[in-house]
Amino acid sequence: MNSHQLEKLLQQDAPPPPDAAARRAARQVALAEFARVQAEAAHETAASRWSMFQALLGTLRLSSHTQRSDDMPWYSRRMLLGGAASVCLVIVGGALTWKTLRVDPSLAVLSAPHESVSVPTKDVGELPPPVTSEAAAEPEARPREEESKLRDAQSRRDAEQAAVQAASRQELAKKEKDEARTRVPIAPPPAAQAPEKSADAEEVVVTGLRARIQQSLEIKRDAVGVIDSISAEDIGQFPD
Amino acid sequence: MDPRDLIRRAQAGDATAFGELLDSHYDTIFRFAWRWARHRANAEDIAQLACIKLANSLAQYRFEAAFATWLYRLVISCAQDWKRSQQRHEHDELFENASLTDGSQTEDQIYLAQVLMELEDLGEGMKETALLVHAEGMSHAEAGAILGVSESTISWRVHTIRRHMGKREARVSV
Repeated sequence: MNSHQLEKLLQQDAPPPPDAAARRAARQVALAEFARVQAEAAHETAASRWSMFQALLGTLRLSSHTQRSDDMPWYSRRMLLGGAASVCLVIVGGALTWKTLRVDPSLAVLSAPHESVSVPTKDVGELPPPVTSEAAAEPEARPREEESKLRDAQSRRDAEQAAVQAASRQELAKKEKDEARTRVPIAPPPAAQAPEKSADAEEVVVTGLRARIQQSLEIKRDAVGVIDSISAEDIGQFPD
Repeated sequence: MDPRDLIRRAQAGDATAFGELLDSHYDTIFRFAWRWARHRANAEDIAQLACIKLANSLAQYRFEAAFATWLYRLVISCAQDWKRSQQRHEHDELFENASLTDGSQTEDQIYLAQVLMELEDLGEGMKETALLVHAEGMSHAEAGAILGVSESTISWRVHTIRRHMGKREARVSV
């Protein structure tokens, strides 16, 4: 056989028709493989999206598994973010404080706690009412009629105030009695207040000493523990 | 329907389009597989492998060459893989198509199978070149495109096959 005969044989070589069962089997297998490939491609697409999301999260991560902070981007350093957070906190706090003080400047004034000093109003209430400056400056120069009118008005005021003070005295005594159970009132020395308020008074009448002593005894008697109690009168007698 | 649209639909994941593509090209696949293997059962195995590989690699087809050219390349690749997996090429069923052919053609088939085995031993790609050029009637350029070699390489292979057949005829006549 020469080459021409080979070419002729190859050209005349007719393959048999494919078997229908083999064709159907090949088709089913190929379609199953095609479905598997498509499902895998869809899964890979979803996985690639998730991997992109993970890569984004990894870019913004605050910690590194490699124990090397140099591997992390500069904007995700923990110290840098902590410093930025501290600066933001200071700015917000300062702004709130500034706005609050701007609305009410009196908040900036520091005052002593009111509970540390207790001034009984009973003693102060017994002071004579203040005398006007005109009456105190020139009592001799006024006529007798005016002086008598002033004394009458003064006496009426005294009577009225005495009635009011007598009513409030009982209420205050009861209130102070309750307060004295929990704390010992530290009253300022009467000598420190008396000169201011009785500077213009001609007569000073101090009452309630007995009630104070009795109140002090009752405080000590009713106390659960062993305490000592002093009244404003006793404080005034202490040496300086 | 345009074959390119059918391929695009199959590449997009349309199983129906892929089934139509298989139906329209299965004859071509089986024909070349049979010519390569010259055995029905082996040709059916190679054709089935080619169909599976088509399902796997259809997305890689870029329309840069004709689909038939790409399909021939795929079938040749599957046939070579099958050959490596089977570790044998000879078969004892050369007469399985005797009922479909007459006696002289059966004798020619035996002779043709022997010649193709000699060409396969002659060098890589010689058998495929002879099948594509002489059996499928392709030009040297088309055969080169399928086999991934240049046209001149195909021409050289055809010349080598003719020279081998001349030597063989001289050897037989002596």
